[in-house]
Amino acid sequence: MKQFFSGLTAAVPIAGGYIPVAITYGLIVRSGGLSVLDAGLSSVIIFAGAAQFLAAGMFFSGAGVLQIAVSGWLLNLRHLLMSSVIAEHIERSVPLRVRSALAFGVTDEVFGVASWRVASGGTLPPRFLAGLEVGAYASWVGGTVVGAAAGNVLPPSVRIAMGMALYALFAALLAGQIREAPESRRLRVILAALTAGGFNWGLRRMAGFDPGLAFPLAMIGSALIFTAFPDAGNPGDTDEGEENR
Amino acid sequence: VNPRWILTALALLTGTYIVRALPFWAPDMSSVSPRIRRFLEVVPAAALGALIAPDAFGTVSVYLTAAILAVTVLLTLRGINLTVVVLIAIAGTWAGVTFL
Repeated sequence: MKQFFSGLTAAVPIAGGYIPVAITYGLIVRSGGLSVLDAGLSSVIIFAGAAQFLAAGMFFSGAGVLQIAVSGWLLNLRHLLMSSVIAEHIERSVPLRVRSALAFGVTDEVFGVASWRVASGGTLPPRFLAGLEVGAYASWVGGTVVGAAAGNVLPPSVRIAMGMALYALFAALLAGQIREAPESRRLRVILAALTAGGFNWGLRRMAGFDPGLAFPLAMIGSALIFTAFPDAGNPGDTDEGEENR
Repeated sequence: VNPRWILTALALLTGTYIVRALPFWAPDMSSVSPRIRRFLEVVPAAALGALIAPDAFGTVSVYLTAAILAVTVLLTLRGINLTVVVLIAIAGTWAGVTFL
């Protein structure tokens, strides 16, 4: 129980970041014509901030279910790496059903806190991780419902400012990616982000592509280019070389 | 409740959950090919780049958006906590919209 509460406490900074963003999400879903229940249920079901914004935007622009699911899935592919980092620190004796439940709550922010704890020499007991995830989940779902139910009482200037919270969160996560990348790969990460943004901008604003199509194209296109791009300062880098790191 | 919306949410859950759960189910599969690993390393940055542009630039002036995003990136690179950075961005946008 002590571990669970220590996890909950560690979720406080996550909640501070989630609540304004979740309120904004609730507002967007509501202003698109869906109900408070629709907004709340989507957060209960999915629990993936960025993918939910993407889904809402595509849904309201008339995209199909499959198109939204594929884009959201591509966007969440990054969690494969995050989950494998966390899973490595969960003891083998933990039963499969507990592992399966813990996997549900691995978001960028949960990963951020958990990996920071591991990096600073701490352990990752399942109860701690459960507390962390429950705290994050509760603030995400709670914020969504509050935003959907009462967000429209906020003055327009505050709503506009909270809308920026999402992009600030994306920019901060991107800066975190840049900071965490090994020096030899840093430039590649920066260029991949700029290129994807540029592609998406061009496809949407100049070529008139639908957001649901432009987003995966821009993302995969840029990622493929920079997968082929060798590491800076290590031009002879091959896959074999990388295996020996 | 809008059934098509809930169906969308369930479809998203399926893809998202499988990606999150795979390493928990098979902890030994961390030995993915280096090429795939390299692809997965740049995917998050590419996704975030395409999430920011062009949609971040639309509601408020381009200059205000660019300034807010630049401050956000700089503060994070300096190691400032995520929550604090997001709250500063909200306050900065509000001040920009209200006073400029």
